[in-house]
Amino acid sequence: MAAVQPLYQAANPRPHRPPRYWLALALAGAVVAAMVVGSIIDLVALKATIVVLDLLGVIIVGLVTFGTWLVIVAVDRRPNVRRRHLVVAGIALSLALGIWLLGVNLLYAGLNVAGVLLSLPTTGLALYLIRRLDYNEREPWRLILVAAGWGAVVATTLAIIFEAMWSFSIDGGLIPGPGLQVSTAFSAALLEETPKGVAVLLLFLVMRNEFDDVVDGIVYGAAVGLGFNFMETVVYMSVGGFGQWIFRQWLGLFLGHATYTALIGAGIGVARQVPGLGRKALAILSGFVIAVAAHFAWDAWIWYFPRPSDPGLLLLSIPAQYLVVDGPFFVAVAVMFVLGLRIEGRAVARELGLEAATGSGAVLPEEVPVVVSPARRFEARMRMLSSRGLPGYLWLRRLQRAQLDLVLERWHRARLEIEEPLEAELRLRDKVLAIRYGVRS
Amino acid sequence: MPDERLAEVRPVFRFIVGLGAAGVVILGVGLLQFINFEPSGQHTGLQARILGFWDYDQKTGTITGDSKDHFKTTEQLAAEVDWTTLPPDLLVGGHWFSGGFALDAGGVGPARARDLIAKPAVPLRPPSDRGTPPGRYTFVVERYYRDKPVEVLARASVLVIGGR
Repeated sequence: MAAVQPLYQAANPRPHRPPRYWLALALAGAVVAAMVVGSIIDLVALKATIVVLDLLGVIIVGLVTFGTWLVIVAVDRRPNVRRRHLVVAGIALSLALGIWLLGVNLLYAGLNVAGVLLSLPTTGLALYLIRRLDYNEREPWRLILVAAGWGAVVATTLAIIFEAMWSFSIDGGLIPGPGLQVSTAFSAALLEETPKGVAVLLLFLVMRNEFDDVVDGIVYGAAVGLGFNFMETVVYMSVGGFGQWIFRQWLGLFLGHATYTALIGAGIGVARQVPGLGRKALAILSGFVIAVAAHFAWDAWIWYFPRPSDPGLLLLSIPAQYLVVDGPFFVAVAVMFVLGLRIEGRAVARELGLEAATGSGAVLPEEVPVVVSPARRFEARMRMLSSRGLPGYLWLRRLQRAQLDLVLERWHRARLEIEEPLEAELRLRDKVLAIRYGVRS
Repeated sequence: MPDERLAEVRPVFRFIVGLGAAGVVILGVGLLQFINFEPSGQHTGLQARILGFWDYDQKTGTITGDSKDHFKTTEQLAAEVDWTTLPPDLLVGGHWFSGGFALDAGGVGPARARDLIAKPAVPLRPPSDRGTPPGRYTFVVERYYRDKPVEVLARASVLVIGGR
């Protein structure tokens, strides 16, 4: 089949970089700087040798990055080719740094391979379930995995570095007891939620096309939290054994870090859609404050929970602790998720109707009630599976996803929340038509 | 248009702002709790001297051997404090804490420093008869005010490792 040329071209197909890209770059630079400065302080003040490896990784990858940049700039004269090569090199080198830091974290966990092997399936399943809940438009796996990877590697590294500093400088002068516990809880809440939140903020700044609303914010936030929880489980298992796996990968899988960072994601997701800079800032700040508070409440107040001496009762009391302390925050996340899905659902229904009314053929009037309902979409795919087999099923799934992408784009455009030229929407429409008529582009 | 845009997301915006306010209350309670247990204006600049950690003979109540920085789970240990460096009337105590959760693992005081001079050895009290669980134990000398610890005068840690 012949390749289809896009029907529309923007006058300037590559618009200028919005300021948020520079903000994201500054944020990423601040993360690296914090890692380097924090590691040096830990090394000098605490004589913590593990941070030498963190520093070494950052320096090596930094030097290789600089060298790669020099070579690409010298060799690639055409801006488009240069940009592509720089992007590929940037991704590869970020992965290299991530793998290095993961190795250091595993070393910190006493190379607890059993912990990794046990925690991977549970964390993977949780990521799969959370992604599936976002039934209108599922986020791409690559971004979900980047979010979880950040939580497991970057956020944990920063947390270890700065919590050690807090423990040395602030906790070191405190009286052991409730005061110290409160201080340690503040430290954990603030120094773990901040690096986790940065991941969601970076996705919000850079991947705006894949960050629609509060629902997406919760999904990305929970993914970062699950990644953090994965690494924390592996580290804690190296000291506390199999019990830690039960607590962190079963009882507290969705209730701990996943819930806290989902609250940050919810705030950022609301900021995506609320008009006005002040309201956006308030939404982001609110999400961050409640996430820190939820984390603090768990770490500081869990010790007041009754601890029965009877082993059976103790076993029952642990899930009860999760429900009482983390449960309300989990419910709050669930409420916002449902509210977000409802808003999204109403918008999808409205925009599907409007798109069908244009007569473009991307959405047919009789398709509207089907595409708007996840259950009916699934039913239609199953009918296709029985009549046309797997290829038919996959074709309809691609068509439905492209239609949903198109109507969500329409929704953002109607709400003046989009920076891209109209060409992007027209391309999405072309894509739907190409799938519908079986044209390969 | 901004009003319409806000109207669509207003419930979820109000919800997150409400949660943020709840978060401020929670953190405020935490701060009050911290101030209660760590009252300000209690710094005297006094410092106690922890002389070291030793094997401890429970029968005679004395320390033996050389000072060590780690012990086995089967060994009994005690910290030795030079109480004479502190003002005699100062209300002080020395306490052991286990792990990161500051669980009390024995100690002496609160009492006047002069009354503790006769008790320089402060044994670690294992939580069970099966020996001392492995981990890091911290010994802290505290100044008291109205029977409440208000200032750390010295702090030192010792490691208990597995193996019999």
